[in-house]
Amino acid sequence: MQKIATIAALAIRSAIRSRVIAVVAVAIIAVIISLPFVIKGDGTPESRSTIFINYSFGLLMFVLSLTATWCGAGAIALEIGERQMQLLITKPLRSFQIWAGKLLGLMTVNLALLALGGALICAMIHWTLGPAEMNRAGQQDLRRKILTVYRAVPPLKASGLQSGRAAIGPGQTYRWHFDIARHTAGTPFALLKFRFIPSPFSHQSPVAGIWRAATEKQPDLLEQTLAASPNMTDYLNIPKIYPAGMLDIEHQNMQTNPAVTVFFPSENDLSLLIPESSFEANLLRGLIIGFTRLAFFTSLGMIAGTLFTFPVAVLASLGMLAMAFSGGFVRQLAEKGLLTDPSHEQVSIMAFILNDLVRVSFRFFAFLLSPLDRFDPLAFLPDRLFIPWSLAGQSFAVLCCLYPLVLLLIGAGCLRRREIGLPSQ
Amino acid sequence: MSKLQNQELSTIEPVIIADGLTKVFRDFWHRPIVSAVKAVRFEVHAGEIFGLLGPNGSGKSTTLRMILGLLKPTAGVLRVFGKEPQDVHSKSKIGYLPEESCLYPFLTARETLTFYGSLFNLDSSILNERVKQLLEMTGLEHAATRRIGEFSKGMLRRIGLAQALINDPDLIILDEPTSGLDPVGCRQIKDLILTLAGRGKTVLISSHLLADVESVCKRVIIMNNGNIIVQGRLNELLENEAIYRFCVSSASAEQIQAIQSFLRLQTGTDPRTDHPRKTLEQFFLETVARAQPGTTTPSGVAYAEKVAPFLAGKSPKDEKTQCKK
Repeated sequence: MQKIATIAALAIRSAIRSRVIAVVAVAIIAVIISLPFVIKGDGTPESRSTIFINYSFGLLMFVLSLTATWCGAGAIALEIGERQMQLLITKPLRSFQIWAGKLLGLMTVNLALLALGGALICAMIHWTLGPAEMNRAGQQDLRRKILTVYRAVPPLKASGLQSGRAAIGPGQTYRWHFDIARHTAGTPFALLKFRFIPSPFSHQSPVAGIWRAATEKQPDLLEQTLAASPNMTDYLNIPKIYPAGMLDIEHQNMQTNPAVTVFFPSENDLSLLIPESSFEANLLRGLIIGFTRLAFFTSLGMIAGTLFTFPVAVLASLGMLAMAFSGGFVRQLAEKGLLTDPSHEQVSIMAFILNDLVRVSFRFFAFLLSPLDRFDPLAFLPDRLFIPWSLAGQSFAVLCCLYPLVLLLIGAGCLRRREIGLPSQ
Repeated sequence: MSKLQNQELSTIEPVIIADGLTKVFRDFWHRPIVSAVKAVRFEVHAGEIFGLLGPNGSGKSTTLRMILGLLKPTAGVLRVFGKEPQDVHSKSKIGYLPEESCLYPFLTARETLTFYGSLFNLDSSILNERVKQLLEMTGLEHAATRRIGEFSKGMLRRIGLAQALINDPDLIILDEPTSGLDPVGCRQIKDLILTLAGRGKTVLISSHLLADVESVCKRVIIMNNGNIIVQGRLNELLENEAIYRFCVSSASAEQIQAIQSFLRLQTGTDPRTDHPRKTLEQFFLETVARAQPGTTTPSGVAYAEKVAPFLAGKSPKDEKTQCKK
């Protein structure tokens, strides 16, 4: 363990003295501090804060993922290229100790930079929520709204339709049922998040409708007429719900002239948001998941660095990073390949073979990167959705322990097999 | 090699055994491109100062790298301390000075020695003492806090040598140890090698500087084109048994003439008479030694006379040293 700690300390010292930490820290500070000045939104403090939450964490993760991959590739490949590894290999070290030490050191660097970014995001959000033009009560209200994260409760599956999906014609009414027995104790308010598309699709003006909410104990919990814009996510405030088993939400389509039917086509288009935690605690869980993702990217970079020279390793690992950031594209290629219609008669055999090769390759990548889709803080934080501790724990177990351990075994095996003293190196 | 000497060596356990050692470099498609080492066979015994000589491309660096576990033999047997070269326990008994600097440029001299020493699980007090002694021995005490990236070539060789000795190794492998060093540094290294050999350490030297090898090595192999072309004790290889040399001091011209006449009469050949010359190295060292006292502190290396006490086996503390793993 002492040898691993020695190698880890060397990796940290290398990151500090090669000024990697300083450069990345300055980049993080510059990006996060300049963000509210670059992206304005509609000028209200609420929109400023929302935009800041939406972009800052994504940018932070992008910068740190790039750094983690690049440093991971350099930690092994550069040392082989500059012959330091030649001397290190002659010392009484096992290859897994070198690998684990470097990984541990780089993860410490990631942790420090992530903590800096997280603290900065937190500070900046509090700063954007305290505008001089707002009174104290307004500020508190804004803080309560922005600095609260919610647990999304989907509606129960209705007969003949999947959960949440609905089509409501002019003058018609549709009712969703939510099981809130486990969530409502002590919640001061809730939000109904919804988004719909109109028919005809060309209708882009707000669509009028009445929203009603009721529980067994509160039959007249809410009745509100609202003109909501199509294709935009909107929120409806629901007053304090006393502990109850079921909440019924009803929507009556009042748009008769012109007649517009509203569709809730996806199961994610309507959900009840119940306050669950503070933004800061959620950000902490998001940072933990972010840290585990960085551990994965660092290991991936190190694997590339063990197999290839530094430029090739950087190219390969950045390619993987690009794929990780475009999960949908990878899944599409894994499912369909390059050909949109492979059954077409004019497609040559070579194109078929190439298509299958692409599909097989991308299935492998999709499999390799699948945990990244599952443990993605960006799927939660911008929408102010609650990140459970269990998800952070699972992410830690999978991305920070299991994957790096597997990659460590592969990397250490490759390092052991690789001839470090070749004349070309 | 005489029969007696062969018997002497055979009783000592070999530190390195190479038998049929072969290395073929292959290209990306695994096609052989060059046979760097061709079925060589040699042994290096404990306490020996062994020289590995040969022109560029003769295979000596490849052989060294195989001994260090940096390259894998294509064929043949290679054992270091009776084990595979990659064995961690064997590596804990080896010190290696590479031909080029392989050190981390962002570390200071002291940090470098502490880092490499930590890899041997040395007790911190022993490690600190050794770092101090080695910095003193290599004349880098005043540059201890300077980064390696700022060092001159000579300073790099010195700190490289210091890291190779931090674990008080049983086998010291030196690749071009005197390259880049001034004559004083060369002499120090040669003295150090002799001191280490005197303590039963095995030293394997690969060098182009034949005078350096000649002055310290007891046995050498000369490689060419991947093969060993000569192997044996240096004295036997260099000795010309057909010629004798007599050394006389304080003789007058008449006495010399009389001796020459006598030898001419006895052998029938014309004896050659001359005055022995100092080597240039010897002359340089004496000159520098005379100039050294009272000179200003140099910017690079301060000349140190003594071998680090722990390497000379003088430090009782170091006897307690044990590698935990």
